[in-house]
Amino acid sequence: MEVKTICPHCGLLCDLTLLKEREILGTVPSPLCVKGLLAWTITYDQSRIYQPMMRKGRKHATIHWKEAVETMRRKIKNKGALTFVVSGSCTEEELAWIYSLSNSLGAPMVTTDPVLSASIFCKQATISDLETADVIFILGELLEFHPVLAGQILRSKYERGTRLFCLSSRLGPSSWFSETLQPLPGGESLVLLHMAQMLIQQGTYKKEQEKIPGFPEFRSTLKALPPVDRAGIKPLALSPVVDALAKAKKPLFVVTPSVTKTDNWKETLLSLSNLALLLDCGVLIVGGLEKGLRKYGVEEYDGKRKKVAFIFRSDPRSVDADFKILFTPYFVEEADLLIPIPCFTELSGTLTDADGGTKKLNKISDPPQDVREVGSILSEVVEELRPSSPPPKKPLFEFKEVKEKINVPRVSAGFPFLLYSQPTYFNFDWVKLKKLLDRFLDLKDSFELNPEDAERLGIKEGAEVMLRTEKEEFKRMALVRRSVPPGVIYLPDFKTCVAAVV
Amino acid sequence: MELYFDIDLCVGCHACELACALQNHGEKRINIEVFGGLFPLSGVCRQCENSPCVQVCPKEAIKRTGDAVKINENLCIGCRSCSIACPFGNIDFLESRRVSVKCDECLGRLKEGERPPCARVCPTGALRFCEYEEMEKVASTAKRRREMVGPRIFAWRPK
Repeated sequence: MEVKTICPHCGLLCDLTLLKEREILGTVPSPLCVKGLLAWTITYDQSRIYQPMMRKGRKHATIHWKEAVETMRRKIKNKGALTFVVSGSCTEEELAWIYSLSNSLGAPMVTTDPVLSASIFCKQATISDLETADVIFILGELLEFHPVLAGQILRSKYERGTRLFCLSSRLGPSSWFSETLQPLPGGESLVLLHMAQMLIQQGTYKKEQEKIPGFPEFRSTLKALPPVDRAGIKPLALSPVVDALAKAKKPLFVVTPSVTKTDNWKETLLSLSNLALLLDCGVLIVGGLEKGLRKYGVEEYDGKRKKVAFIFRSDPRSVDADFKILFTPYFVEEADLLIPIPCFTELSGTLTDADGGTKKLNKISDPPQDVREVGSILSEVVEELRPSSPPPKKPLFEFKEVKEKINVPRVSAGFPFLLYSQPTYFNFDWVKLKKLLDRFLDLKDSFELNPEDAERLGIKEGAEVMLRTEKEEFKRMALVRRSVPPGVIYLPDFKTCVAAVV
Repeated sequence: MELYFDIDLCVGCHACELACALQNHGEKRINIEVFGGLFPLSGVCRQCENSPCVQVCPKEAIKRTGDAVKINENLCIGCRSCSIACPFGNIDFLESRRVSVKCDECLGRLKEGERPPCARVCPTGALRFCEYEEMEKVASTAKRRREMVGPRIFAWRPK
């Protein structure tokens, strides 16, 4: 029997057809990426929990539901010390329950996922705009994380002659098909601001956009920009890009989650937002599922230590709290109280995709006996709780000042390399899939290094190399690639910083 | 119907590789290679006419069946001659079972009228299971015209 649902792993929410008899057997092949093909396997993951678990000493022990509910009731009484941490993979129905509880308790709802759309103050585009745009400007790495979109983008390139530009520190799959600007990691914001400055100097921006609030202030900040050379790009390289964008009938900017790995990613997105306002075009955000969180006005986690944190489907390692209550389908060591909830195949609900539209998640199999949905658990903890809908919000277009223009980490004699990074997965479940994927394809944990540096250090392709950053040390396999410039090394899923090769 | 590969559309996403592994009990017959970190190529067997692997096999274990070239694993002695002979490097040797495996377009393992899973999952349409005429039509009507540059490989050829 074939059953239909959606893949919950990124903002595209691709259609997924699963083969099911008594249990789920596999995915019916359709245009998908590797995450989508393996998505169903997390239903039968070994680390799933079927009963509430509580930390007792060093180990976790299963407890009765009544005890778990009692503990939660006790913790809720302590008002003012509560925090609700939600993730993009929570369905809208779950968010409505959590929002209503956090509203009644006056506790903030935060997220540890980067909410890309929160940093954009201009028009947001949809995926269908990719088909009509004549110039597409990609910020970050798009094709590696969303190969399903690649079909659409390559079709518009080869069939309609769309020009593709890419701004990324590493020459990944997106840059194979586009004209690439390769700044130093962290220099993206400066490059985008220089492009805005060029547009204003040439007078090729859309004049009617001057009425939008904040334009005079933004214009005056552009006068005191550091030279673009500091971001590792020559000023001449920018002019063809700016010309193409100014002449285009319908330019489009695409943002991917790979921008979030630098410290100043919010400034980068603000700069992009200002540039898009100057050209009066939309920005398409293809990221995780954080658009649903935006509806509820969820803010980003500030990194401070909290007393009690209710964590829903998110990673407890990224939250600092005295007592962590985790609602999750899987066992996670770092939580103090684990509450089992259904995974995506055992749940029906709605998720928000990159367009801001909703897609339906279908229940394919029944959850295990003792596993209950978030709504029914929360309504038992607080009686007479009803799910509530979010307050409506108006879109706001505005030019914003960009404070931190450049944040390229300074290399020193001890740490001569700039480490550049991009995320390899967007949500918590993907870590489990990656282990499975490593078994099928022999992908190893590796890092990329320029041939010049490799020759100087005497490193050969495939060698095990020790990497050291200011905080930690680890071993990785070296790949000698021209995708990174000399002096930069690329390591997936890390943070931009300085590093040394030992 | 044959399996065609369009170099221009491959983004190296490993989806075909995984679909192949899932279909063939974890033994994949496609290897994605990225040449110089810039040029992805899905290493699927081209099913050459006059195949070198058929000619070198000392036990006549490799035979052309219809459109595909298939290894009879019962006859294979694991001498690896075919791996050496293959001009594309697309024949793998399995240490675990000591036989050679290659892509045979899932011959005999698919239902009537079904396409191989690698072609079905490819998100960009770089791997296509179709008649030559259909592939030619798709490649030649595009603004960037592709043509056949090798056995079952389509690419843009600079003039």
